Formats: sequence, structure tokens, C-alpha cells
Amino acid sequence: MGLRSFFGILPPKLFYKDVSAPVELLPVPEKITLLWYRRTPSDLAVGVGTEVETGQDLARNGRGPFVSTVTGHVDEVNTFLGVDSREYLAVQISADQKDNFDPSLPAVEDLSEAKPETLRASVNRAGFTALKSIIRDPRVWPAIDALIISVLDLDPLSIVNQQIFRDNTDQVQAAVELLARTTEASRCVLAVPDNLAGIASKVSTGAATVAMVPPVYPNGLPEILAKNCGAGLLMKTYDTGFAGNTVVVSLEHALAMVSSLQTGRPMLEKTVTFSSGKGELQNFRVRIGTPVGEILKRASVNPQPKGKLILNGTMRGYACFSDEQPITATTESVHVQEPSEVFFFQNTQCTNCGKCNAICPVDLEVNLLGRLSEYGIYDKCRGLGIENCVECGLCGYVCPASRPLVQFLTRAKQGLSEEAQEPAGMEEALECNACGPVCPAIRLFDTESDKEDSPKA
Amino acid sequence: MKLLRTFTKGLWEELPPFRLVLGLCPVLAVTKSAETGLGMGLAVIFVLTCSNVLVSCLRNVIPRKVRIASYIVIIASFVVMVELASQAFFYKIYESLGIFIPLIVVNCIILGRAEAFASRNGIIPSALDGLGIGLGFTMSLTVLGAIREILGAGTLFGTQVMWSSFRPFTFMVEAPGAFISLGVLLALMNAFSKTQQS
Amino acid sequence: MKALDLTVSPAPHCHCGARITRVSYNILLALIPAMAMGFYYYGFDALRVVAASMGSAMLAEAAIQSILRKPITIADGSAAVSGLLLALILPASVPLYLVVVANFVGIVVGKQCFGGLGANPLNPALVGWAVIRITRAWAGYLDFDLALVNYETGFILQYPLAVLKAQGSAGVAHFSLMDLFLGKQVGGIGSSAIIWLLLGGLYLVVRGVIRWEIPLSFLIGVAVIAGIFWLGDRTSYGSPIFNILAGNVMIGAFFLSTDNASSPVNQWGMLVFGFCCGAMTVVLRSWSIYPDGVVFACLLMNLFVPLLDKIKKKQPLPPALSPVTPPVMSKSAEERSAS
Repeated sequence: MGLRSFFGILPPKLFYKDVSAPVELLPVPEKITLLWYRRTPSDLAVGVGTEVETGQDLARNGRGPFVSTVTGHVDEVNTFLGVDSREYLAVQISADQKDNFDPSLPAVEDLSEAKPETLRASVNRAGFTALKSIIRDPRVWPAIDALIISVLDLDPLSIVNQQIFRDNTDQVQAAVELLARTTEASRCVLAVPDNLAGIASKVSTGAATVAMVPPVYPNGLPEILAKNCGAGLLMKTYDTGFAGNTVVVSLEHALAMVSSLQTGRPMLEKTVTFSSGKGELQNFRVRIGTPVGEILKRASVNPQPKGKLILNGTMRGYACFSDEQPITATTESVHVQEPSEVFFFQNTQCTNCGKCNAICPVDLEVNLLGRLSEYGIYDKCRGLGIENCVECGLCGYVCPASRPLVQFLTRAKQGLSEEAQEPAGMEEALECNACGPVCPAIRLFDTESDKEDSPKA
Repeated sequence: MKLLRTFTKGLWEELPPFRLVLGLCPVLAVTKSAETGLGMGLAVIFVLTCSNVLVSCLRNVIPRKVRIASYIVIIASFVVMVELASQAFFYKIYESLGIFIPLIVVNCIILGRAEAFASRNGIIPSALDGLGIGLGFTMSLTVLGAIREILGAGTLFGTQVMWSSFRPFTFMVEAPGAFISLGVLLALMNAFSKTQQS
Repeated sequence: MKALDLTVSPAPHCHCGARITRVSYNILLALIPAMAMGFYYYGFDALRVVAASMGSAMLAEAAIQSILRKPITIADGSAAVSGLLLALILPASVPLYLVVVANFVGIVVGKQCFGGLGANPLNPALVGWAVIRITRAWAGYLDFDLALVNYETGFILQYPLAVLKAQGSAGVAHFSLMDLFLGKQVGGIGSSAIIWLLLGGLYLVVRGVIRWEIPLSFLIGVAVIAGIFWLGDRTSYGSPIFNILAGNVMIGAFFLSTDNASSPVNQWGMLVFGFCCGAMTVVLRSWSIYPDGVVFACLLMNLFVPLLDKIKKKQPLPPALSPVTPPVMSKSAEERSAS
């Protein structure tokens, strides 16, 4: 696994990796797939066969932005069930090796003079879907209190932001200042893991304060960062239903946003960390929409039958069933597990050991919540602060009974929000089971495969 | 047929301590041996049948507002008869039952049958009901008492049934033993009726 | 999209490796030195009790689970642990049928009736011990002075706590505290091997199998309350150190009271639980008819666990959610107010 954990008087700790791996740029693949969350083909301005240019907005007027990351022609438009079991609109584009940039891409003329509104409009046009919360309507949303630019990664197996911080130290200061101006945040924080303190000291902070964060998972998660260095609550986009006043942006996205302001070009490439059971971590920079298979090919690792291919890290990520799964702007890492490393949950009952309580970063009573949710008593979960759960996965990671605790908590949250009957426009709870019939190997509860716990003759 | 059902329902379907889970105080307290259990049961049969009959006779006379007090007066008079009789003829059992004979007055089975059955039915059904429920109660108490006596003292109705070197498991005649054996019997009965149903 | 033959399951995709089996087997491992001391002093008799106890505990668990048509989980080792714990607090001379009955009652009534591992409100080993202790005809077997009179062990064949109870602190003056600490005292098969229990318990704490809060506060509870008694009346009560080193305190602090299912999970709850266990131990030693009170103190405090679990860190405030209105609606509201 490559995860370091300590046992003893203190609960185990998952440390972020402190390694440096050069970023290798991969060539543009023949075909890319762009995903658009919960849209239909009618939202597109293009159809099958249309020639597109790099940076072109594919969305029909006013529905976007949804930018193409390559030059080529549209091959296929269909719906797609993503790894997170949400429905996406997928646009497949056959890519040319050479990029023709859309000539209409607007670059901001005079960055130092531009108004925040102009800057925000420009960032919005560049299609930063992951940053939707910043590009907001100030009449609806409260003012941003704190902007946190995070050098920490989301998963212990990802070193993307660390590596970018090492490589682009000189650009950080300008980026921070420009973003602070764009968002009009009253406070700007650069969150740096302790192990990069040496590099951080070289950055002249200017408007931003530098917060040193212990490189322990889950300190890099936006919710935890917001709690520890911000104004407390994370601002999320309106379709998740939570409104806070802190915005967390990863360093990679921050730099891409700044570069889009400077050049007008949208974020075309994403850096991902590749890891497998053996071997070092590798960083690859790929065009957004590249199938995962390209990275596997370059790293010459093939997932074995009954193994796992995990996007976005082992703690919170998703296992995918195909190597054609595209890399999106939010994909942080690709991890391949051997069949022997694959971990299965068990349908055993809670032994009340309290390990989950001890490790929970938001101090929930996970043992109680897990049992309440197991038996469908969701009302009692509300008073126990279940809304604070960040789904970091640590409770499931430490549970000696191998219970699917994260899923229990998620189910309770889902049950509560179903009861509350969310207003339209919020994320609806998808329980379509569409993945069931097509899934090659759904094995959530597989008691027989756990050889260790089965009685030996 | 209906009369027969009135009688037999107390033997299984509405078996007082196990099905209705009523009157547990004497069930737990006096079943230290089969003998005391049986004695208590017989006393309850007598009181229950007689009070059911009398309550049934007077059901149209007793004003509704003072019915509980009246039932208690009726039950108490029979209890006093039982107490005096047992004092005279079965002094040993009287001693081991102690306070629990006078406490029959407030036994919820007897009050419950008077309220729920005898005050709404004729004399013969009430008598049969009292007899049936009383027999069921006696049976349960005797079985429970026998189990506790055999394990806890090695005897049954005072005669040695276990081997001579048996060191009795006196835990069973202590209070926790009563709870545990009652619980186990309840569980067995529920399991049995579950298999009957399915 | 072409599907590969891959496993798909939800996050987290990795695990720290802790298993219920490992918890149990670590506890068994930690108890081995104490058990070996029992074998050394009491020979075959001790072996006989330990084997019968572990065997009957596992047999009881397997039997009740097959009757109830549940998966048989004796491989998780929890039944073996409670069997061994029960054996270690019994004297070596105890008849085997007693051990078997205690284990059956402990496992069936104390554990499986409540729903098995994790759902038991009481520690099954303690339930088993309590059953034979309150059985009047059998309690004599648990009297260490009577039970162990025929053994050649090389140390004083008097149960220190019984001597304390009968003769006051003057009677126990000839027990050297060092001997007590090294396990040279009359007691259960394993519960008198103080130093080995301490080492085994520390091993468990270091491995993260048990939390440090309960043992520490247990020992502090014993020391504080014993200290109060001792300062009040030095002639009839033992010193705090004597109270910790004699009897079942060490096995109680590290092994009996730390059973996962029957102890609190939150830090303050555990501290209070441990302290009260220790305090009750001394109170029972001083005022009850029993020379030692560890088992009953633990059982009593087990009953308070649901209450103690309510002592917890202040819950983080739930996010102060201003119910988020979709943008269009608020816009129109603003327009309306403007017009």
C-alpha cells in the first residue's frame, strides 16, 4: 500500500508522502472523452462530426462553459455513468496532435488594472468547473471570508500539489495575489505541509499568510482545511446544498486559473500521481479527457484480473471497471492494486472498540452512528453531528471488524436529506442501481474471500 | 366447544407468566422448589376460580366506579381463607411462601381476569376461565420450580433425584437464577411457537 | 466502454490491517507469561483448568451459535479469550465441572443472548465467575486459602487479601511487597503473576489493542481510594501499594475491565469507568464480605457503560446552514423588493 501507519498509544496516522517525482508530460492521445455532469446532448452546441478547436466552448449559449481540450472532431456523444455512479454527458473527440487554439479566447488586457468582476468573468469563461464556487453571483452568495490555496493533496498517495509547489515556487506569489484580487477574499491563506517549510520560506507571502499544516491525512481535505485555517465552513457550490464562507483551491488549479487569466487559455492539462503496489510514485501530466489506460501503458503496469484500478486515491477515491475512464480536471491520482491487496468489507457487527471514534477528524461518534444507520434509525443521527462527516474514510480504514462505516454514515446522511425533501436544484440521491447489472465484480460483502478470518481446519 | 376453549386457552395461548408475562413477582420469588411452586399455584387456582365466580355473579350489582375496590375486597376474602387454611393444614408451605400468600390479593392475573373476563361473562365461563388460567399458572410455577429445584438443590418435591455426590448449583435458587431460568423458558417457548407457526 | 475484469467496491480501498482476530490473539499472547507462571507453580492442575475453560468456552459458543443457526465465530478468538481470563482468576484446584458451567453461563447467557461479540453488556468471563461465586455450595472452591493448601510453591500459602480482612494490616506485614510484585503470592492461576500481567498489559497498550485510559485510571482509582482508607485507619486497611499488588487488581485493570464491548469508547468515559472500577474494588474489599472486589466492581461498572458513553467531547456545531436558495429565486425576490 505504501501507507505509513503507526500503532500504539496514539491512533494510527496516515502521512502524506514526502517524495519528489518529476512531472512527465504525456502526448495527446488519439481519443479523449470529456465529461459534463448531468447534462443532455441538447446542451451542446456541437454534434457528431463537428470540428472543434482547443479551448472552444462546446456548450450551447449560456449553458456552459464546457471547453474542448484538444483540436479534432467529435466522434460520439452519449451518456456515461461515472465512477462515482453519477450520470454524465460524455463527448468523445478524436484528437489531432497539433493544437489550434480557438482565436476567440479572451485574454485579460491589463491584469494589474482589471476589475475583479472582469477577472471573474474571464476565469468563468475558461471553464473552471471545479472552481464554480468562486465564480459566483455576489447577490446570492455571502462574501468569501477566506481563500485557502492548498499545497496539500487530497490523498496520501497523491503528490501532485507538492510537486507543483516544488517546481513552480516562483509563480506562487503572483498567483496568490491575483487570485486574492479576483475573489475579493478578505483573507488569503497558503496552506503548506510541514515538510515543505524550507521551500515555503522562499515564497514572499505578500497579502497571504502561510499556514503550516502537519502532513497527516485528512488535513488536506477542503473541509478540514477550512476548519483549521479558514473561517470554519467550506463554501460549496449550490448543488451540494452547503454554504460557508471559505473557499479552498488546490495549487494546481490556482496556477491554471492564473495562467488562463494571462493567456486566455483554459486548463488543458492535469497532473496525476500514478502509484501501484510496487515501484515509486510517478507524476504524469496529461490532457484532460485522456483515458486512464494511457497512463497505465506509459507506466507499463497492467491491472490484473480481480485487481483494482482506483481513481482519486485509496481513501476517498472510486474503483473503476475500465481503463477507458477519462482523467478529469479533478482527478488527482491513479492507483493500481493487485488482487492480493484488494480489501473487502465484511458484514460483521460492531465490537465497540472505539477506534473509529478516536481517529475521526471531526470527532463524531462513529460507532454509534454506524450502528444507528445499520438499522435505519436516521433521526437519531441528526443530533450527533452527522452533517460534519467529511467522508475521509479513516473510520473504515481502522475498523477491526471491517465494517463499511463510511457507507453507513453516507447512507444516514442520504436518508436524512431524503426525509428533509431537498428543494429542487440540489444534488439528488441517486440510487438507480444501473451499475448493478453491468458491474463485473460488485463484491461489497464478500465474507468468503477474506482468507484470514475464515476458520482454518 | 366455546366453553372448552375458554378453559384451554389458559393452558397455552394465554399462559400467564410466559404468554401474558403477568404476575412475575410470585413466579420469580416462590419457585425455589417445585413444592412451593405447586402450593402457590393451588392457592391461586382457588382464589382465581372463586373470585371469578363471585365477580361474575355480582357484575351487574357492582357500580362501575368502585369496581376495583370491590374486586379487591372479594379477592382478599378468599385470600384470607387460603391463608388461614394453609396455616392450619400445610404449615411448612405456609412458612416457605411467607408474604406471597397475602400478596395474592394484588396479583395482577387475578385482578386482570376479574376485570377483563369475569365482569363481562357469565358464571360458568368465568369459572372455567379461572380454572384454566389457574391451572396454567400452577403448571408454569411447578415446572419452573422443578427446574430450579433439580439444579439448585438436586431434589424434586424434596426427594433426591441427582446422584449423591452432586454439589448443588445453588445459583439457580438464588434470585439471578430465577431470572435466567425464566428467560430461558420464555425463549424456548417463543422458539417453539415460532416453529409451530411456520 | 470496455469493461475489464476488475474489482469494484466503495472507498476506502485500503485497510490498516486490524482484525478482530488479531485483537483476540494479541490478548492471548499477552496472557501467556501469566499463564506460564500458573503452570510453573501449580503444575498439571493449572493446565487442566485452563484447557477445560478455553475448550468449554469455545464449545459453548459453537453450540449456541449452531442452535441459533448463526455463523460460528469461534475462530475470532473472543471465546478463547474469555475462557482463558476466567481460568486465570480461578484457583488451580477448582473442579472442572464448575469451570464448564461457568463458561456455559458466561458465554450463553452473558454474551450470545445479547447478540454475540460486541453486544454483550457484561464481560462473559466475569459473569461466569460471578455465577460460581454466588453459588453457595461452590463458593468454597474459590477460597484460595482452602483450595491451594496442598501445593508446594515456595511462598506463604495465605491469600493476602483474606489475611488483611481477618487480621488487619498487622497481619500482612510479613508479605514483602517485592514478593507480591514478582507473583509470589497465593491467588488465581494467572491473576497473581503481577509483573507478567503488567508486562502483558503494557504490550497490549503499546500495540494499540487496549487503550491506556482504563488501566491507568483503574490503578489510580485503587490507589486513591485505598489511600483514603489507609490514612483514615492504618490498622485495618492495607496501603495503596499493597492493594494494587494483591489480588486481581492487575488482571482487572489490564484485561477484565478493558473488554471492548463492555467498556466505554470515549476518552472521558473510559477514565471515569476505570476510576470507578478501582474505587469500587477498594470499597468492596473494605466493606463487603468478599476479600477481593475486582470482579464485582467491574461487573457493576459494566452496567454503567451506556451512561458513561454519554460523556463525550463537545460535539462540533452542525454547520450553520442558511438554507441555500437557488439563485433564480433570490434574484426575483430582490427585484421584487427593488420595484
